[in-house]
Amino acid sequence: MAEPVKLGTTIMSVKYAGGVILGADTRTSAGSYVANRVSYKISKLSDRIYCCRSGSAADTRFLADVTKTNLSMHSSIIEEPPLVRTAARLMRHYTYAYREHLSAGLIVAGVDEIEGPKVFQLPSGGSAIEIPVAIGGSGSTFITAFVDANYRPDMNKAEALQFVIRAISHAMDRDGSSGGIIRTVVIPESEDEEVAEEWHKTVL
Amino acid sequence: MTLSGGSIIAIKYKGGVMMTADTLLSFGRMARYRGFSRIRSFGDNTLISFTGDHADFTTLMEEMEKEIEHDVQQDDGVVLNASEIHTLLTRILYHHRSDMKPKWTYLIVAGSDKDGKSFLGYIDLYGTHFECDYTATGYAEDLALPMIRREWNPEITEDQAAALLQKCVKVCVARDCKQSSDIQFAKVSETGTSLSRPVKIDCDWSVASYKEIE
Repeated sequence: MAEPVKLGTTIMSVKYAGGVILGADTRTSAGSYVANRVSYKISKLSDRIYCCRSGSAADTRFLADVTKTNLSMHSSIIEEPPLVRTAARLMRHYTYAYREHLSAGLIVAGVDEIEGPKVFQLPSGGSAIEIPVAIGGSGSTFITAFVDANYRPDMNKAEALQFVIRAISHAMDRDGSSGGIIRTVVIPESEDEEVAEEWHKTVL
Repeated sequence: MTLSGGSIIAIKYKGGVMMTADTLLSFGRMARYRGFSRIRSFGDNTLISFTGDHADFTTLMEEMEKEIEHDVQQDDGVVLNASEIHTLLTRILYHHRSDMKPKWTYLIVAGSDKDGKSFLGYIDLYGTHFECDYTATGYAEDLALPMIRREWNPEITEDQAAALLQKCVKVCVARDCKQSSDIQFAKVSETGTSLSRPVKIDCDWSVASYKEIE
């Protein structure tokens, strides 16, 4: 019997003074086998809203796709870029309705004109909470204390990016289900700056 | 969930046997203890390494050391060689299996005697045992053995063997969740055993920029 493909994972997102950063490892495992060592766990929901996915690769991919579609339709109707809050709400609709059937821990983060930079965590179970720094996935347990000790809300972009890379490096170091490289997406609040999608090697 | 060791790969080369193992003891999915040497050397002529339960391996080694101590006390100038240690361990493992209390380990025994004749043997928790020119335990059985089968020949030199093992270990580091990238290389030849310091093995990440299906 084939093992299900899971995103045993480390994902995180932080709000910094000027935007949000999303980060994730790149290991997709089927049992102990690394099915994809360079996977994309950060998915685009709209131009300035992205989500991090952990749990079942299939379930979370579906949730991201359906939220992206619904968000796009909603945005066309209101003729405005969508709010991060709306993206989180639309996704939560599914994670709550199908909570018995899904295995999905998500983080939705981005910027919008009305509320600015926002990070929402949607843990498995179907709730949604707004917090300044969110960590998720199996690797997150190893860095809970690290994040508590090192997060500062007044970090600038460079500091916040280093914080995310360090945190995920530490999680990958200890968690067998996390590994590979670290993908980051930096979403600045200012319209003049582009969204930056990059990848980095672990710092450990 | 108990403390466990990962894959091992071992191949004979012209003049000796080379073995490689990572330096990690895992606790379930957690990389619990790093920098731990999983390759043990006995006397001057034998290397033993394990995949599986660490506690069981430690107990096995203790049982074996008692036997070796009896042998040393005979003081007749003859000590157990790798082949005899392999047989001894096989008997011990089969005994525990027959009591329905197996020692959950997969062992590789490598050795070389003074005439330069190499030995390489495999034993598992059931007492399955055989001699071979190259072998692997754990995930490396699926990942590394096919590569070795393609490239190994009886005349392979020490450098070629090291290069082949490096190649195999890279695949294991990329594709085994429980493999660490700090690898120890060990060899045994007529001049004795030697264990290297842990070396960090990294993969090629240039494939990272692939395009996903939208």
